[in-house]
Amino acid sequence: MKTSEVPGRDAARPGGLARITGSFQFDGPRHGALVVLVAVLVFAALRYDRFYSPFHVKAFLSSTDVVCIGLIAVGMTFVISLGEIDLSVAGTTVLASIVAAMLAPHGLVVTLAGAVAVGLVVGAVNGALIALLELPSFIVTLAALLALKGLALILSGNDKVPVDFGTQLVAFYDGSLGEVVPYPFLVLLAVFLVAWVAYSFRAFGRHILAIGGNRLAAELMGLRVARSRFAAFLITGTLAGLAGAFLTAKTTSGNPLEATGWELNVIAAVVLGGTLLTGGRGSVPASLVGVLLLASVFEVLNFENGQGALTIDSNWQNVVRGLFLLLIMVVQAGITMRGERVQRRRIRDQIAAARA
Amino acid sequence: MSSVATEARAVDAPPAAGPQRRHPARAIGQRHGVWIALALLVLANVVLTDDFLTLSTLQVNLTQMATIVIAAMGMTMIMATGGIDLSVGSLMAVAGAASGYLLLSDTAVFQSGWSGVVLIVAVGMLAAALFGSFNGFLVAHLRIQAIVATLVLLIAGRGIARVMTNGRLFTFENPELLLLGRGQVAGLPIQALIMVIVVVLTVVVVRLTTFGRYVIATGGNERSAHLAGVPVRRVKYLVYTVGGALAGLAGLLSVAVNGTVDAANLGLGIEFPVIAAVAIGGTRLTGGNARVLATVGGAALMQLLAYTLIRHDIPKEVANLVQAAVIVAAVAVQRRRRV
Amino acid sequence: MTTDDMILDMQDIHKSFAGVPALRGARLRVGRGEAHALIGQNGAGKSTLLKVLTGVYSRDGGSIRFDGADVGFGSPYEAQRAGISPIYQEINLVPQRTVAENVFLGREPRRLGIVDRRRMVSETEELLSRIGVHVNAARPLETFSTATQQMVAIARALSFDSRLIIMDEPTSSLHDREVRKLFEVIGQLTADGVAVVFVSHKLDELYAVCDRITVLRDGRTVAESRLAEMSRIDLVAAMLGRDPQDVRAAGQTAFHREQRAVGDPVLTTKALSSWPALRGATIEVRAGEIVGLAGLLGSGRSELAESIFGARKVDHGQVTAGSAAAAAPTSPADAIRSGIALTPEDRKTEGIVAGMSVRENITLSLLPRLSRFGFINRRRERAVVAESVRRLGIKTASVDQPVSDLSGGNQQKVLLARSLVLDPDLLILDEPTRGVDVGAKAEIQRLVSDSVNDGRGVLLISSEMEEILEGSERVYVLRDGETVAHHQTEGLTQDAIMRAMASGEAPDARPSDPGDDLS
Repeated sequence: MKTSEVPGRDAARPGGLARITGSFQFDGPRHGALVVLVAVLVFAALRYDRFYSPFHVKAFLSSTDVVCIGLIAVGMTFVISLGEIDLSVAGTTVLASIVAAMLAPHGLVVTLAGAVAVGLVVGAVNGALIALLELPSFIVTLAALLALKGLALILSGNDKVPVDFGTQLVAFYDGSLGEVVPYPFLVLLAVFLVAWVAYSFRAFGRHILAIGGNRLAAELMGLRVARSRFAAFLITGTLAGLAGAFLTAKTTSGNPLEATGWELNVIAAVVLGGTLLTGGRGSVPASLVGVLLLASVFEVLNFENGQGALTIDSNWQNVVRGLFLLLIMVVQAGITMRGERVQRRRIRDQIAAARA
Repeated sequence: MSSVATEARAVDAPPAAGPQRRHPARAIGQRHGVWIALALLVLANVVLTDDFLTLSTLQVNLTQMATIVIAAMGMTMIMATGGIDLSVGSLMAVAGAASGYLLLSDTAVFQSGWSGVVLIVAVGMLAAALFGSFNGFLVAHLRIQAIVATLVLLIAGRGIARVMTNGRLFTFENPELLLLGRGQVAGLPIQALIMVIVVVLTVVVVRLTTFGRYVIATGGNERSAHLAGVPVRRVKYLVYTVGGALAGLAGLLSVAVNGTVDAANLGLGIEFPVIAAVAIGGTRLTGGNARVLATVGGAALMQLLAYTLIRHDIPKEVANLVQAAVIVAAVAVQRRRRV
Repeated sequence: MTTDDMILDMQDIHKSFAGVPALRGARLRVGRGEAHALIGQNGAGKSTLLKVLTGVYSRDGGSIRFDGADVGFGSPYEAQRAGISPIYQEINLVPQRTVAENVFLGREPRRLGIVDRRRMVSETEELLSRIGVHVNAARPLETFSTATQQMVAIARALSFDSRLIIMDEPTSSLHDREVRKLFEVIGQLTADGVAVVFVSHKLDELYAVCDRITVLRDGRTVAESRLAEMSRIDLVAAMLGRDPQDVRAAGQTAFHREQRAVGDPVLTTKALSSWPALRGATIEVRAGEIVGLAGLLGSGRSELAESIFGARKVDHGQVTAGSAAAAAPTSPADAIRSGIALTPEDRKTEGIVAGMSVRENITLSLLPRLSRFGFINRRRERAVVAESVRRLGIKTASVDQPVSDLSGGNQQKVLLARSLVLDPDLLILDEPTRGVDVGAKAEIQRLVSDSVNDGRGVLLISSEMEEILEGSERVYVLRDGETVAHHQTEGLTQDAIMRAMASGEAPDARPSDPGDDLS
């Protein structure tokens, strides 16, 4: 028996079982996602000749599934770590996309600035309603999604806004470093690095996680909760705006009907990465892994169709996507439950041994 | 109440302090805001809109509301337990696809006659209920957060529905099924009558049955409910199943109205107006209350708002903006200061 | 003491919530380097006063001088920067983050804008070792015991160069040894010139550490004195607003005893274990008796109750409970069906459903018996509730009032009613008087004594020695999840129980068959 117990040495607090296994809950799915990603990429290398051809790598890395979803997912990681959600991102993206299409003739800087400005304004409005007026983020951003799509339709006159191939925006998007690494992917990488540092190495990220973990405590510790919450929505809005400019560049038009359902893809990617929707835990690299995993799985499906050996028609695509999400979630739940069982068995054995 | 945690243990401030004692006007706004807003909007229409007080106005608006309200009844119960069902639109598609399966078969009974319709509706609702129970399993037994858990079927459910119909859109001729969607009884659309029946049943379940009480208790304080003997897992499992069945019914009505089965678009994006209706009605996202009639009011408010704007030639896109503003205003009025 | 010696001088503080006054002229004056006790019944305004001080609430009237300057903090952050650190319960840390992060949140040491984790961890460990806690500060807080989490909260306050530290019931989750450690730390602080405001309901603690005391009642300061000059009876009398003579006469608890025939066992557990809290709990409760269950926090008392009630998985051992006297219950619903009722320890998180009415809360467990084909018989429900409200003296404007509008004591009675309407064979009461004011406490104690009858046994869990000694006929003592002692309470001293709780070396510690002591 523990008789010489030093205060604080007793790691297991009664009833804290789930909390101890909580660390598995986080690491399991995150590393799980990384392992699956590597497996998918190796599988692709072995099976398809052209998967790692420079042309295809560039196409993959400049797809909206990687660049746009990636940018938004980076932002969404902050919001979800707070225990909040931003359903308006697809609306922000599509409105920014229309604005970018309209500004495209005026050069790259103006275009990007316009799109980012849209994101900033949306993020600020969301942030104000949620952080300052304390309205629930789910409903506010749901309403914002509705409003932003309406605005996009109004602004575009219910039609596509074409963009000339010769504009700087399109040229920039198509440009690449050494024929392989597209510029937009470099932008994503830069954003990712800055966000990673802010999230994991600067006080800002610590505060976000603290607020998501225990908001009351964070308030009493003197953290400026409203400011952090506001900032998180601002970041997400801004990155969704930037994604809008890139969407325009990729599709060479501003289409008010694009990006439908992206908010769900983003949430799925972040969750696949292992960030918990309840807040308090998460990581930016994990979200990026989630994005790359989703994107590469679909790329593999496309290749599979291309080879003709096994045809997965488009109807099945979403089924596979959903099952994939399910798989990761069940694994996550299973790891938590197994942790509890293992601990339980261990204690039973100990008791049995003590009796013998 | 306050934001200091000691409050959670020993109530040192007088119990009267805090949100319980609201400003009277605010309290009225919180309780009856939906109905007041709806009444004002009706009044404005009476003055501003030509031919507003006609049977056809009522018919149009009821028809537009019916599917949303029916799906929202399930959603109200799900949200009362503190959950949410994002997959409601996909479940509608699943029910539609299941009915399409029967309609496409050569069996004569599905081509006409009420017995066929009953079978079609039963099979469609059953299929959707089955998918709903899958949601319930994930949430109740695997303890996965409802938003992600139901995301699975939001994405996969529609895919399955499309696979079931081979991705095709087809029309059907079954006259009784079409009647269900387009017929009228005493001047009221049949689907509106079905809506009323579903609403009444939901009110009865929530207010008069053990199950209804359990739903509220589960959402109000799951741990307390569990220790008081409430079978919280079963309750959660069941609300998603029932929610699925009601989504299925809504899906079948849409099919009946349109005379087509289109798995790709049936119920697409309906989760937003459904959740909005529940939220405007004042049922909290965190659970613990179920304002069934207010949900109907919320749906009616959104519908009448859209109708009003369209009647005054304001484009649908602008209507979106106004609706968004109303949703935010509604939750702002109902906002309770943080505990 | 002159005004200049005062680090804090709050005068004539008023604060109302929507017209209901919580503070009406409260005063709190704390000297530099003084340990100051703040005491009052629930609802006296202690928390409100402290929240006004720390900027959680804004005051309606009055003045606050801190360190010689008029202040009015707009947020806890401002108060902290000015040198006032509150320490609340462990709930005010972030369980998922590391110990070091919790200590330094908001003031992380940085190098080139990057959080210097290594320095943060080493400084945290150093701070903690100063108060005798040795942990790996890079680990998540949630992997440590509640007591350690509390120590981390204290370390956090120490890390600020605060001149006033507010400790709101800091000892409620600490072991004796840790309490002594805390008192040493407080001594150290006051010697360094730091003032401490100490809120506690435990008079022994106040007398052990505090120099002066402020007593609040009904939002006013009713007494202010050097503690050495104020007797316990005077203190309690000031708190209750009663004459000291009455307080002496009232006795310690309101339990009463009657001779009852003790019947068959309604509960037997044998070597019950449930990881990690229980490792061999053996108790027996018979019809017609109240059995006490004592033990320190973390000794497994509540976990034993949960295991009996089917709310906790049993790893090993045996439970026979209720009328069914068959297999152990597998869920609370199952337990209720076999005649067991539990009033849980934490009223707010495990007891009431705040959004529901008094009526709905009372009948929540009884619904299966109140309904036919799933429909609730409303007339019977109202009859049952009316009877309960009358018998238990629940003060509520209407049975349809939200239960959250009731005072703590009345909420507790609602929970008691929820159990009693089930007419259980075994009633388990886990801390039935915690967090309720003195008046309600006495009423509840009377109700507990009334609740036992020929067909029913009661298991009474309490941290208060008086409740155990005066409320129950027999007592079991748990320590580290094991039954370490079993006594008749007749003639038993508090000392004997406390020794058993602390060391397990009670004179006649016998975790064996409890039946021996009966008859």
